[in-house]
Amino acid sequence: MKKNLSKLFVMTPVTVLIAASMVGCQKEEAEQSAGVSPKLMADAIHSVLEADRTVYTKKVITRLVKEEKVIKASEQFEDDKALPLPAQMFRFGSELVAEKDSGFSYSLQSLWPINKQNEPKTEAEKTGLKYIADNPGQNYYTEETLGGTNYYTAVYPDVAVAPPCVDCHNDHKDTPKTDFKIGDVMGGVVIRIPL
Amino acid sequence: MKTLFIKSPLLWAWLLLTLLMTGFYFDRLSGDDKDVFLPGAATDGHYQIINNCSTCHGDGFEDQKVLQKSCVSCHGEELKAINDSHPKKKFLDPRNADRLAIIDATYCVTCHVEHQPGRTGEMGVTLPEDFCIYCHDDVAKNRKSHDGLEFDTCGSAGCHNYHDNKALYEDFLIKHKNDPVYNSEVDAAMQVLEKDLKAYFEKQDEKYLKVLKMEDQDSGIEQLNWKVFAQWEKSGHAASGVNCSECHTDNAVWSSRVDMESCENCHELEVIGFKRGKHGMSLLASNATISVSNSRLPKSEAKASSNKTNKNLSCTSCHSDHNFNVEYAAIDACLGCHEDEHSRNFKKTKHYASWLGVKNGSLKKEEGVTCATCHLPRKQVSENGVKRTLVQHNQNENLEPNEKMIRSVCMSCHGLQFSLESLMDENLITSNFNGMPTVKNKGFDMAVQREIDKRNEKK
Repeated sequence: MKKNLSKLFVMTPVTVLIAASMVGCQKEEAEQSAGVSPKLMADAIHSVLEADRTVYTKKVITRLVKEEKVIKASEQFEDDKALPLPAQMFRFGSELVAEKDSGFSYSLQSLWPINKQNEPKTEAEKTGLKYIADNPGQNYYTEETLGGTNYYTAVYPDVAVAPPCVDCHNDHKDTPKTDFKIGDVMGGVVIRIPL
Repeated sequence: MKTLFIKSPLLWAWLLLTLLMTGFYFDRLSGDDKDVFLPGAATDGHYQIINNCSTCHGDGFEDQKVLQKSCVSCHGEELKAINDSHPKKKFLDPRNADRLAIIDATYCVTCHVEHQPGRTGEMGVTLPEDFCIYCHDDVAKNRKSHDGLEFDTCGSAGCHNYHDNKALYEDFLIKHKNDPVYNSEVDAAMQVLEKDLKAYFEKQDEKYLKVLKMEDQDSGIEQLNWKVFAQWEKSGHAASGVNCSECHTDNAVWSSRVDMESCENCHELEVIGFKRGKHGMSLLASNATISVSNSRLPKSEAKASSNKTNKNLSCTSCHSDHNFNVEYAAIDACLGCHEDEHSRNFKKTKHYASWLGVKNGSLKKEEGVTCATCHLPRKQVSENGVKRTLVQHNQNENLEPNEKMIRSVCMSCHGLQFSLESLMDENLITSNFNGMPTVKNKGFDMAVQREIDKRNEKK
């Protein structure tokens, strides 16, 4: 099981990088002809992120923690010798991507964050997260300037896909919202591509 | 005009002065003493490597990236091991651009500027103590307990560190809220060094299974030095099949001098730790380790001028050669050089009494505390695929901020709150922990109260 988990740990960021490089290659080719839009690139990256996040939540956390009850998932996963939470898996991947200077960045944010550092900061984030919460199923796209660089910024809904998502968030001592249900928009994935 | 030029005494004086200054600076640049070029004295952490500018600055004082690479090459591994609370990667997201414009946390030198003794504080930090405010100014919004607290107390009240919070995070405090002062069972696993080390080497080579006696010695020296052979016979080396030639032979040629590389052949991880620690780090900048007389440690007149303390440190400075007495290395070797109050008080403490108890057989070995127990702690490592106990010779891993010691050392015998408060008590540190702490860590109560409040809110 450990072997499979470690594979998954490696595979998530790797998958994202492969997707990004594929898009990057497509971009190069496309630039020679018509070019690839930042929206297409952001959508492609998000589809990989969303898929990996869903797989980890359903096939690892839900199965092993909720159903088979063979291991715990914990914020302090190293001290508790447990599985990292899905949100932590997502963040570790985004930090690895950032360290590789991959040409894009992504983060998980929420209007109801457990970690207050993950609440929206920029105007685009604030508007985008409100938009996807008020308009289920819709994405939000915009441009913004941060630190003198222009970015194409896309915000995608992050939906509760399994019982552990809502149980953990509703029960956590730091949560500002305790009535999440399966299918609710709990936050948003923000992807930025420098223009 | 030409005559005037030759006869001008001022011109000759200027020429002479220029030549003298050129010679002086060239001599300093090529020698070991480069103080004249330093913009300011180095911190206690770096003074040992200060005479080789390229250790940190690379070949040409290029840019911050070169400095950053140097910082990471020495400190990066440790920061990863402690799960650094503020790693560079956390700040790379463009959403942090506004924060980085104020305080660029992606570079170590933003907070730790060298050669600035006038504004260098604890941990070599050159920013004002309230720097946390830049990113956490609204902390009281979600934590009422923090309302009204000054931001220069985040780090100074024993609650938070910028990098290492592995013994300070909220869930850890709550988990250990009911720890007793003394644990009923000490962590015995960390005290099986000799047995464990022998088992490790036996797995590497069958020759280490043999126990050697004096008559087995293979030095080939006709005139036997019985004292030396007797010391060796009692050592862990003879007990583990390590004969004279194993240390004294270099490329099949006998050498009476044994250098560190010879020790490193078998004790690689120990030597790596030594070279990264206070005792060996000057090897980074020169071919020599530091000597007591060149160190910044408090020292008596006698020690400052003795031949022994003028020698550079090596493995045998503490592990006297041939008998390699690890007990001597654990206390008396330290006290042979360290003259500060904390060290001088060690023999008045319960810790030392416990060690005497081990010596007279009234206590088990794992219950005895030496200088090395706390400052060169034992840890479990994996070497060549085999798990073994290692004495961490890099004190920096376990020294400052002193909360670093809590999990690796203190909690082997004591509870978390007692450990935290003891390490906060300056007088207790000076007395070498001879007594009970007289200061209170308020963070402990805050964490526990918050847990209670949150539980009540949900009811």
